Amino acid sequence: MAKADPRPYIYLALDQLAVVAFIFAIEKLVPTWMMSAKIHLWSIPVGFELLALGTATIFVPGWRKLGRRVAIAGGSLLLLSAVFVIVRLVASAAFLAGTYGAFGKAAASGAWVAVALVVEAVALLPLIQVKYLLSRTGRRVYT
Amino acid sequence: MKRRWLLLAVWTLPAVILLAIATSIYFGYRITPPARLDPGERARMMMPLRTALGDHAAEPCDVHRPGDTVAVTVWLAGRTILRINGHGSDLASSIDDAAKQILARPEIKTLAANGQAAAARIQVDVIIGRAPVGTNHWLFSKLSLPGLASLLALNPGIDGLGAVVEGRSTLLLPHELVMSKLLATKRPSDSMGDFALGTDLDKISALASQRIGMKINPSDLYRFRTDTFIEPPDGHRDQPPLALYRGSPPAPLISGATLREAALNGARYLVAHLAPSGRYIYEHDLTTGKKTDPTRGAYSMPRHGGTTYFLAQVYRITKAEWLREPIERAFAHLVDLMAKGNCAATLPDHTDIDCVIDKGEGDAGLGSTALVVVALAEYQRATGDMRYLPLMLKLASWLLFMQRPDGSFRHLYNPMTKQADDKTMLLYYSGEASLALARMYTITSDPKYAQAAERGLDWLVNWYDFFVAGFFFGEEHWTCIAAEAIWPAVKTEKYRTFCNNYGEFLRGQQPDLGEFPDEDDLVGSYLITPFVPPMNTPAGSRTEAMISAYTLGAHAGAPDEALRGQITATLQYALGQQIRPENDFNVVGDGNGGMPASLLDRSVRIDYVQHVCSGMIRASEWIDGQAH
Repeated sequence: MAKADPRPYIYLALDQLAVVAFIFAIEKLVPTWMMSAKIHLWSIPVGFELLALGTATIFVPGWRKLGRRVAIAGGSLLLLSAVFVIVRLVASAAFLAGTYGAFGKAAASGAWVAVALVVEAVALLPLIQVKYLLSRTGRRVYT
Repeated sequence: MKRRWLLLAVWTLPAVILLAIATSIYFGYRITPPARLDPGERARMMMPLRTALGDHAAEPCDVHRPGDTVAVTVWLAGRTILRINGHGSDLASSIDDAAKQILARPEIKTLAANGQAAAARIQVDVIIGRAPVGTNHWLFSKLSLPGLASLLALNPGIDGLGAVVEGRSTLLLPHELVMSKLLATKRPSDSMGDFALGTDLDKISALASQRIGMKINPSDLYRFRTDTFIEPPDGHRDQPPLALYRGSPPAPLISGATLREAALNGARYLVAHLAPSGRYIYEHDLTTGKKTDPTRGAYSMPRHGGTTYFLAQVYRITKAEWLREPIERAFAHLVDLMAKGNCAATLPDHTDIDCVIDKGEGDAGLGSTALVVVALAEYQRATGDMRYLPLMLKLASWLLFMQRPDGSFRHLYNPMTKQADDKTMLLYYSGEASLALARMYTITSDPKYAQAAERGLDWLVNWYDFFVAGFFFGEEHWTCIAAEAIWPAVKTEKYRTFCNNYGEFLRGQQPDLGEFPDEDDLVGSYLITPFVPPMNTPAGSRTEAMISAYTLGAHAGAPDEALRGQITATLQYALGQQIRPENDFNVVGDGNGGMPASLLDRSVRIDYVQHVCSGMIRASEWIDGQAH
């Protein structure tokens, strides 16, 4: 008998952990008064929750096909959200360079660190997980 | 084929979109400055305005350069007495319009009748370009990071704000925004109480509304930049008008003589701000002329000591006799405070100790006593007068009592309970105490002070002995000053390396000429990013430390020439910041020689002058000499 693929369970745990971590971070660490920023920030735990719910259908054979699609949608939302953060960072850097005549090494380093953190904290897990879900193995597991 | 195109699009399109967004926003906000008016053009534009201010009809202006608006400000005794905008098809017609408006103003008659017209100085701001402000740009409004566009909406001191509502216009000039004190008041959130760095566009809109008598919203505002110039002070009108950048005319060129004169002017400012009681007028707001009351309110004993130390230092170097009485007056105040301070005691080994504590203070701070010792020792070095030595011995014994066996210091002491606080650590105090002990060694040659200073310095320098500490430094200016002060009693390569590394770390914060195109006036200052205007006091305190680091190198026969360049650049910057007749047009009260907190904060506190001018007087002794 072939050994069961453990990855859905690992991804499920990581997704759920990310939901908790991001809700804590948004609520406690980065309070914002701006509605557009709130929506943007909350799209991250929402995306991870969709990813988690879709992945969790591994436990419900009849729902797996739908679950896989939900997970892919959640992952895609997260990737879009990460890209949008990067676009906003670039736009802000251009604004500051235009207003102040330069952006500066310190600010440029800070922006690079911010982009790297966004990729690492928001984009990395959904990127790997969506790739898995689109692979032949992922399709087979979720049939 | 299709797949290849798809892949190409996937790899290139996001980059192209990002580049397009960045380009659109950058050029949307950028105001590229045209070539500045030359001295002849400035003089020809000023002439009709000066004639009008004398209540005479002026000849038409002949500077036919592009431009549609000029703003004219007339200053008298640091205050604006007249402010008008002239409009026209070019600069000449805008100036003619402004001159006509000046003639029509009743204030001019009074000014001429009172014989004050010559003392008044005319400033002209030529509007050279306009751009959106904040999120008033279609694309950036959609993509801005929260709060950023309003917090960092404009380049302070360079950008002005204007609005046109229902055909009526108003201009808030760059200097008017600085004087409004609304450029660094906005907090990113209410929870960040001390982190006020942003522009308050709501309040600025209200200010503009008052001017125009109509409601102006932040969305109605636009940014503009100016080519600004001002008449020289009365008596120097044979010179062309002075070009201003961020409100400052060109700085005097650095030399030993210029630095010496600037330091003496700083000392004159402090002497003029020393009350008969021997207590300094702690702070002077140059915009309003308001000064703190030396009999009550906020005061700092370490700064009293540090400021008096600077005066003694200037006396030691220049022997300017007018300094001696004020220095002794400042000491007399300390003696008076100590008599009431209840700190005097005798230790079990029969050593007499005493400390400095201000009226109303519960605990005596290490820094107050340390800097008073430094000041008294400097006075003795300067004059040879030993009358304060018994007092210094008691104060120094208290410093030794406050030192732990590992070299660290306890920072607070309760004179009522005679107990030292073993927990609280405050910025600067350990370095100040180490310097005090080093100076005590200088004047007494008693090795116990040299050993204590060395232990203090070792503790400060060795604190950085962990991985992350290899990437940053705290405020270590007193450490490096003390490290040089204890030489040659303590000769260690460790201190020189530490201070050279500190210098290298600080040089990373100094912008090079052209690095930030709009901010070449800030070259030499310590600037973390172009978005936060530099403070002048660190420019002074760090220069004091760098002079000590450079001197330590010279003692060892290997001065670090990069430090010399760093010191020269900072002092050149500081010379431009100091208040002097060329730039005192917006100063209310006796501000000459004063050092404002920053380009935005136009208040002078005694320690701002102390730190910057101490660097100036020390560097004046060797800056003209050849590099080693």
